[in-house]
Amino acid sequence: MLLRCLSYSGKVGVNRAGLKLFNKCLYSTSNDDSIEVLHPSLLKKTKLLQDEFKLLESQLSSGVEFKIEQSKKYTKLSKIISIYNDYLENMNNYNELKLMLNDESLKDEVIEELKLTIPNLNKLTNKLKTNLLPDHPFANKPCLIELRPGVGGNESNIFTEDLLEMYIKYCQFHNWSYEIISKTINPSSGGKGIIEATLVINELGSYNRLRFEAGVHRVQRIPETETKGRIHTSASGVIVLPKIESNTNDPNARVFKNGELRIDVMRASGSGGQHVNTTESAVRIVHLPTGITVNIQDERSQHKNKDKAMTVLRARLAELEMREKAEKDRKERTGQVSSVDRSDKIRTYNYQQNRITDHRCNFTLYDLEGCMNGEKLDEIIDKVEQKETDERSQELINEIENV
Amino acid sequence: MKLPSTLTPKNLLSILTKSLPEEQAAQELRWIQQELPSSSWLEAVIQRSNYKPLQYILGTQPFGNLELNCKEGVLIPRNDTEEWCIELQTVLKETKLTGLPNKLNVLDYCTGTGCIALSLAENQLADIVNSVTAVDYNPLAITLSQENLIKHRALVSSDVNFVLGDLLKRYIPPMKYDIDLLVSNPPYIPKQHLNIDGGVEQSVLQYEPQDALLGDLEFYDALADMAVKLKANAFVFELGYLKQAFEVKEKLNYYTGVGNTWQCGIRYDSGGGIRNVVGWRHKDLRTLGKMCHEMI
Repeated sequence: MLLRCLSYSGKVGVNRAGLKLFNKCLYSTSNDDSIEVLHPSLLKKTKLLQDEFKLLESQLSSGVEFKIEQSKKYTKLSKIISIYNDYLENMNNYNELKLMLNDESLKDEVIEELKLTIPNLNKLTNKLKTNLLPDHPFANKPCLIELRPGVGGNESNIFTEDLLEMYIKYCQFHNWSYEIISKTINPSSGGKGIIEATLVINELGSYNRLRFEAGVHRVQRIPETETKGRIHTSASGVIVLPKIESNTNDPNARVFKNGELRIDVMRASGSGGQHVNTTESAVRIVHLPTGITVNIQDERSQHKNKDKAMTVLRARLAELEMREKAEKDRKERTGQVSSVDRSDKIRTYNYQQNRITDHRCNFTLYDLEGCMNGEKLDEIIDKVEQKETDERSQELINEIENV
Repeated sequence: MKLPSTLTPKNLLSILTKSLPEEQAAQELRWIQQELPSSSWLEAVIQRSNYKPLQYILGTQPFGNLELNCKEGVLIPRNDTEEWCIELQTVLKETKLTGLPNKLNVLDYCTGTGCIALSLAENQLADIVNSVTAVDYNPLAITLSQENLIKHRALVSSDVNFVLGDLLKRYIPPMKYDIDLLVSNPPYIPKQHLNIDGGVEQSVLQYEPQDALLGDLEFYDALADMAVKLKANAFVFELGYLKQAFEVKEKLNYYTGVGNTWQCGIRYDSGGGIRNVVGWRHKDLRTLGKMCHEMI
């Protein structure tokens, strides 16, 4: 198998149709015995970046003071170049090994060696591809996850709580700090299931990882409450937002103009003051220009509820503005909506078949338990991320070729 | 009351819903379960259904950045009070002292849990507040407010002192500095209103100290007197009735005599009720006008 694929990939070159076939070969076997080819346009782009990097480097060594933008660019380029150098080294290694395959006496050893080199090379190719793409504007942000039940009644409330648990366990698995800032238990189902929840994950960069979770998650199983053993299908919506700090150090932080917000606090009707010792602490904030409304009531402190509501509001606004901008950019480039960006049904959790299928990348994980306890979720996210990288790379290639 | 045989969340909730609206009951049950050991849940729920304030059951009430200890015998800090204290903090942070020689020294009468005094002594006001002295005639309040000071030591940077003394007897605590800002939340519910028909909650009537609630113009008369005697430059008092605001304005005039330069305004809370009378006579503290909805 190894040899067949190797010789095949050797022939593939950059031929598009061939690449598809090659990919099939890649997926039908394991990723580890054939190499993925970096598109020549991307290679060309990397070489251009290398020149740019050399220029910056010479400026730096001649004592030029970098501004923030330049310094950011330098860091980004140096990362790319370092991956590229690794890539070149491994590619040379690989080519040499391939030549040595002709020597029958060395063949077994060379094959062993290739088994190590190829996965390494593929990892570097992908890493390079990812790094060549522009960063997501909120890539390094912490995030908020909002969960809402969809169709399916009580079962949907219960599944929404299951998803909340999954993300909490995912955070625990990664040792990320998190906080449930809002959670409303479904009153009509005896304490089972939730009507809404908002989870804040304070880990920097968690947004970039979890943004792939946004969309409709569908569950197929026999609900606990189902007496006749029928499988039900229900759904929950997941919204992932970047967390924006309110302090002025964050360039994404915004200052609200007078009259832009309406803040309603829960107040006892009647006299107020010393007359009442109410425990009501709910806060509602309405952003008047967009109509975005946030309600928070979980904390005993109205002050804290207000802070939390502001956190949610800032996140929702940032996401809204990002989507509007992306939409505008897309129109300008007449690009297509990436299949990863679509927020319709993204995933199915089928309990009877012990599987989770992500519909964006057609990947199925046969370990539902492992995913729900947070340990295997990364396997799915990796595949979706890969899919997005591939699509965006292709877009980048098209752009480079059309210049 | 007939007690349920098993202690399920549903049973606990059903005890609470006898006295509280469903949503509030669910919320309060959650807080009880979060803050108390499970062995106390049943007792807590029964007490609450008998109108004991949640703050006395849990032993605390959040107040801005503080979480104040609460005990029976001392008035629970109100969120209407929290609201104006946070507003006052914001205004003070924006205040620049150009004419006044030093940072502000604050005096608080009828301090109770120490909520107003401690919120004005917070680190965030370290650049503008120098010291806070707080007075209460109830020894329980002095003990509790000192406990709250110790609890929030890390959040408080001003020099804070709690002293036993009676406002109505025109008590002046020993102070190292002349005071600039006088604050108070004195008892302000008149006798004829201190009942359900007067808008006072069952829980308040049954469990909170009457002497922290029952009061009227005599307290505002005393406060105006003290503001003049102590040569305060500004004041913020909580109140419940418009006539109490006018009492302050008139008595300031009366005690000052000739050359009264006090400016007074009133503030409504977010529930729409009249909540404060605010006054200033030094230009540095004109910023307090931002708290006012109208001048009187």
